[in-house]
Amino acid sequence: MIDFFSVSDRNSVFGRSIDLFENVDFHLPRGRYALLARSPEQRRLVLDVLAGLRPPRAGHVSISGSISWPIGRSSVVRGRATGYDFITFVSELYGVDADQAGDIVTLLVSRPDYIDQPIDTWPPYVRQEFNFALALVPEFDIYVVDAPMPYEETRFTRLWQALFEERLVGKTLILSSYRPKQLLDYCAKGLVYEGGQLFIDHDLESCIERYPARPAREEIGLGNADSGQYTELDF
Amino acid sequence: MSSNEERIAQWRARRDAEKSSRAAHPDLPSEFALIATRAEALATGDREDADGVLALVLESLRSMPSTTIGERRQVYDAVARGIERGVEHGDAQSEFAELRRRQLRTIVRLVENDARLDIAVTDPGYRPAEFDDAVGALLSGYRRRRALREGAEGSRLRRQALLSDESFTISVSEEDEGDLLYLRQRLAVVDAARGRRSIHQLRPRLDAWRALLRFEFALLRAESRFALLWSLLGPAVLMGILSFAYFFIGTHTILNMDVPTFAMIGGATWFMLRNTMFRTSTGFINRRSLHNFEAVTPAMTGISVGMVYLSSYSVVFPVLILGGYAIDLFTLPANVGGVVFWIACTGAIGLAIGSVFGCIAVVWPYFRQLGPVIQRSLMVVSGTFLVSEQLPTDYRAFILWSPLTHALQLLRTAYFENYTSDDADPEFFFAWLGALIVVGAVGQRLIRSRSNPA
Repeated sequence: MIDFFSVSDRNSVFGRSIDLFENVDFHLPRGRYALLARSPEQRRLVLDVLAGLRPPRAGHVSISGSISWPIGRSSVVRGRATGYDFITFVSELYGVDADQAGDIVTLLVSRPDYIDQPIDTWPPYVRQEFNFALALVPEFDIYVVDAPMPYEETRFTRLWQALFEERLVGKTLILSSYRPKQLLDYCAKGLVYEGGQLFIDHDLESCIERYPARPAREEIGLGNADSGQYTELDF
Repeated sequence: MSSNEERIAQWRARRDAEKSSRAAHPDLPSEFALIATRAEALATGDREDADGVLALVLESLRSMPSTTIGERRQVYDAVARGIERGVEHGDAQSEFAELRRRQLRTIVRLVENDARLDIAVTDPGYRPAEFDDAVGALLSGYRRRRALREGAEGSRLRRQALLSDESFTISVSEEDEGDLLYLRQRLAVVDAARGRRSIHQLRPRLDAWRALLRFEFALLRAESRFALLWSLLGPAVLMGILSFAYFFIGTHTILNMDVPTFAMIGGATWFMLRNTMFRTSTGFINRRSLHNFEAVTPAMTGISVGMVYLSSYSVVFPVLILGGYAIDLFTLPANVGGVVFWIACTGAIGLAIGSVFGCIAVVWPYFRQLGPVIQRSLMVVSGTFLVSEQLPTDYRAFILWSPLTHALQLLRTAYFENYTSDDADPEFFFAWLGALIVVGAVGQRLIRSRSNPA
């Protein structure tokens, strides 16, 4: 469950400041939701607040139970660390055995030979598989997915989908994807962000028609929505 | 069975077939009724290709005494009628029935064209020239439609499972079933082990700190070797420059401190302080990918980066001091405990200043461009080059406002037996340190809502 108590928030999209939430009180019960908004960049900002990654400027967000990282978000898995370093990091963070986690991930992904190399050297599909595979290891009460889920007809997709389906039973899912079929396959209701407010819409199909999903700039390789840069103070 | 009995059995079978064909198609002559009956099997056959349809059509044409256009038309109609009856009585999917109709229409068109061109369509081995291309397109269309139907059916079942909160079974290939089973077992083991852990509220936060520090050590290891070597060489180079400057003006001791050791202590401490400050502040920004994990905050990433770089100086200082001592360049510290304490305090103030800078950089990204200016300004007032007692009394206030000068002079007091700083004040330093920690702590709470995960 996720609760918003008098939440107000501002943020910027492409350098333009917007009021993200205006005094929102909202209760999200257990269930499977497709996050829908007018623009994919708004979806991302809303997801950050929902997942407790960024506290709002005013008010409070309460999350009951464990919540995943935004699974599939490309920026999560990157850097000079190796795959095993990352597995160890996530395992320690969520209190699971790193060796077991490593076994699961290496068996699942198509190219386990990359895992002991720096992540920066991996092809994008290997990073994405790794991202999704690792998300299966710790069990969460709330799964947050911020990318299209694996759908190509591959061994990885089949195995991942089979295990993820089992993981999802009795859990909450918040899915932000630009693939309408996935939204219909995985979600029962729409979680709609519109005009600074959140509401639940039980008619998912009409919701998807009203808020047609499209990929964010980041997802089509045009950079991040916010103005964050990576220059170092150090030299 | 004798040949006579065989003939009788065949005659009886033919008679029964004719009788049932006439019963099924009473309005057709018996020979066409028989064709229609045989065509019924095409609607429910296992094979999807059109060879069976072609074979039946050609066989039926051959069984006719003569092949006028009218008779051929009757044969085609009988086959079509048989297929329709087969569809009605069988459990064929509508796409398959449609495939058979289209295959028959195509075959009729091809055979009829050839027949009208006087090609002997009833000869054994006859096959229309465009047969494979024409029916191939039909078959691929059929397979596409079937996949769509199966996909829609799968989605319907999936949605049903979703709405009743059940697991939808995804089929995997036989060779992957073993892997799936193994993965399930592994996940069950992981879940069971995790369930036994303490769920004290403090636990996730401590786990996050530990995980971050280990991760940062792994990243430090992955840094280029030159970057790691520079953490040793940097202080040595700065020490060389400072010593040369003092030697050049004929100074070999500064207030009873030998110049090489004085310069080494100043240079190494400055490098440590600089690295800690700016790595910490940078960690607020360039580790934003880690802020996608709920337990990790900007302050945690900044401080953990700073701590990891700070810890590397636990190797740098002993190596420099002992190495320099071995070649008679440096003296050993007079008070090892005091030296370690003041190095740690300098590192702590580096972390605190870095945290404040990190908070400012989150709110005002341009602040990062001021890094070099800030660094050089702080270097002047850090006590790296000189101690305040070297300056005339009136000018001492220009550097003594800085807690860094106090820390370095107290460090040199602990290191050198014959030097005691008159100006350095531990209380002044700790007041600054406390204030910076408070400002950093408050600042990191204020900036959290402005720091977007990458």
